[in-house]
Amino acid sequence: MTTVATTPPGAEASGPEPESAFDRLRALNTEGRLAAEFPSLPSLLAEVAAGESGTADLARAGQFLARVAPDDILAAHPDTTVVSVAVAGHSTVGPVAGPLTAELARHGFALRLSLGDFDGYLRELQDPESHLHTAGTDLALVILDAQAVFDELPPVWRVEDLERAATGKLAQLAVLVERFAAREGAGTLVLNTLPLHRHHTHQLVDLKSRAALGVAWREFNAGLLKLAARHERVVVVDLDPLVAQGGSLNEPRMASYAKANLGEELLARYAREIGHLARTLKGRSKKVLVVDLDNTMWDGILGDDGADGIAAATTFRGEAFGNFQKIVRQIGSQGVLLAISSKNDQEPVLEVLRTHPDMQLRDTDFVRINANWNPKDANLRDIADRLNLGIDSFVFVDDSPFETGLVASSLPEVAVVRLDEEPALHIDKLLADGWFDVRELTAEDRERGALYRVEADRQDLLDSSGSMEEYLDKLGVKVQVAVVGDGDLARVAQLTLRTNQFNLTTERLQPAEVRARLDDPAHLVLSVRSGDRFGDNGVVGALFAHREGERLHIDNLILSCRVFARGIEQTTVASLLAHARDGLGVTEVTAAYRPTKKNHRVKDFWPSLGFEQTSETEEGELGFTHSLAALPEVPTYVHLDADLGGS
Amino acid sequence: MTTPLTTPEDYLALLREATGLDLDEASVHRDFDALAGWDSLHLLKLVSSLERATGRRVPVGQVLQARTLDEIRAIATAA
Repeated sequence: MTTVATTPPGAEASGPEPESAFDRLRALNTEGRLAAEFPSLPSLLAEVAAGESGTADLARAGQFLARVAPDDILAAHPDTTVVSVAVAGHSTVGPVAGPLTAELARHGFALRLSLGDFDGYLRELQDPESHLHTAGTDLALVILDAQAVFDELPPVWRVEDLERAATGKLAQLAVLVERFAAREGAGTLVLNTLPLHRHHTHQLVDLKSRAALGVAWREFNAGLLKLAARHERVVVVDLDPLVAQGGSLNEPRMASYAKANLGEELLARYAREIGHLARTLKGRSKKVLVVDLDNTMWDGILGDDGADGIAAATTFRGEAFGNFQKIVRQIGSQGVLLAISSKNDQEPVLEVLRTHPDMQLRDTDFVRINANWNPKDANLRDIADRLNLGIDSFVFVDDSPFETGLVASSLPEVAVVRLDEEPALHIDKLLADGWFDVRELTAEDRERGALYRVEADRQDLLDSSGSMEEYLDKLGVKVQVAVVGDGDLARVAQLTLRTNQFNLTTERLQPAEVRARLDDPAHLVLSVRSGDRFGDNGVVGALFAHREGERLHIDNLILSCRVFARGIEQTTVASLLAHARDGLGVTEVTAAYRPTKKNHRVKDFWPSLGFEQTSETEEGELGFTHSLAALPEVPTYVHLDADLGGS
Repeated sequence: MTTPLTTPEDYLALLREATGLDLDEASVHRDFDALAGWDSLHLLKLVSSLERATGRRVPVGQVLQARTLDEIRAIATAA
């Protein structure tokens, strides 16, 4: 390698310093081009977030990002996803605007923000006309701090007063939360635990009272956290771990003069949690974690050092890598698919994963192992193709700045975790963002890794079969279509939230919304289970329909991308149409296709089953009608078990 | 990191960075009520930026009584 060939353009001695991502953002701001360039902001903000003082710099960028009107962003880029957030609080809520705008922009979301009054949270929670309750609000944030309780104390107080005030405040909040959650069409309500400051505990001089205060306070916070378990539309952000990251809880002068009781740093961390919550609500949780191996999962380079020369235990550094492997495995146990992209030969990698004594992770923990010498962006695309998942659901972890830089620039939709040469920091870097946060795990999530591995066996059967028909016949596909039971409700909601490709109208439904439809006799909510000779796939699809007089309208049909093209989708619709004609006695069935960036593959799905196109809107939404004169047949190789209920 | 606020340009740059507002030299002397987009939160951001830049504690109580950005500069840089 010569110096000339490795010097990147712009780095010559006389050339200007390469601009940092923050400088480029600032330049866009000065030029008034933030709205016009909105789609390029996630890459820049990801780079800012990965820097030394990531959260603080993001908050600084948020200062000027917050001044861009969401409507200007939409005018320039009509496809932009808007997240509507209403904020109420006990102290000043304004300081959350900057960091929140930046964290959401980092995910490509435009923020429509409505800030409540100072100390307005009780009234705003109570008043059904307040901004927290506005229709279309995605997130209603009620930001609380310890003063919400301490302000209720008499001028001079004992710990018993505090205990009473805390119990009273919790009861009051529980009632307000209950009412909020019961309202039709309300967004997700987000509360937080209240961090306790030293100047709260140390107002009491006797240690016994101080300990009693500590107990009362934890019980209060535990009570808040339990509210989330009771209501599907309520989330409680635990601020304790965010405070434990260090830094000050607030700036005493800002708290005193401006009633900013939660400091900038803490609010920035809080905003990051909210950004990931918004991702979850918009169905954008990540699903796949792709890891590098050399100096990411073990200490050393397999190709140079040999299997005996690498370590993930026994040495100081080795142990740090081993601990990182444990965390990756822990994430993999919760429905996140693990894969490898490593510049190595395949055989030695498999050998290490199968037999090396240090490994916490084994070959069977991964759904794909791509050890080869192709560029990593090509490998990520290959893994995405094989798993039939969008590459925007990927998180990529590597210690090499070259590889992380390559993937970040050529696949900007992939979340990149940039590790460095210090393995003891790997865990913090991986967990700095809640890429895999979901509202609730389902049984399918925990089995997901195994399900994808069985997929490889199916692939082998396909390869050995002469034709698609022969393959499907040998596969022995079983389909069960039934009214959704309680046990499947969370999974059905999750399918609406996470499925992007086979999702005919992409109507996202939270569990509470699915329940509301189940309870409505005019609505039909069906789950689709499938299985074959290799095992049970669990709930792989859902169908939503409702009756309008003599007509049944299919609101949506969703199928997990794992089980496309095995006749399951045709079988489901065929059984619904038969039920519509013979069970419900309707005269026609209507359906729709609403195009998104991801679901173009199913545009012709309805016509393929005998539906006639009847309408098309300017946005490209298609309407279809089936006359029920001739019903599509269930494919002969599918064994159907349908139980659609009486009405 | 201490950058003395020797020139009006230094101060303007710091103001723009701290507030995200597109301020010009005239706005430094304008009353806050007449300053488009100004709110009390900007004041807080400005205090932290000033403290970072001067390496000295800024008397927030006095800053809160100031009516223009130039008055705040005077308070922050007073010996």
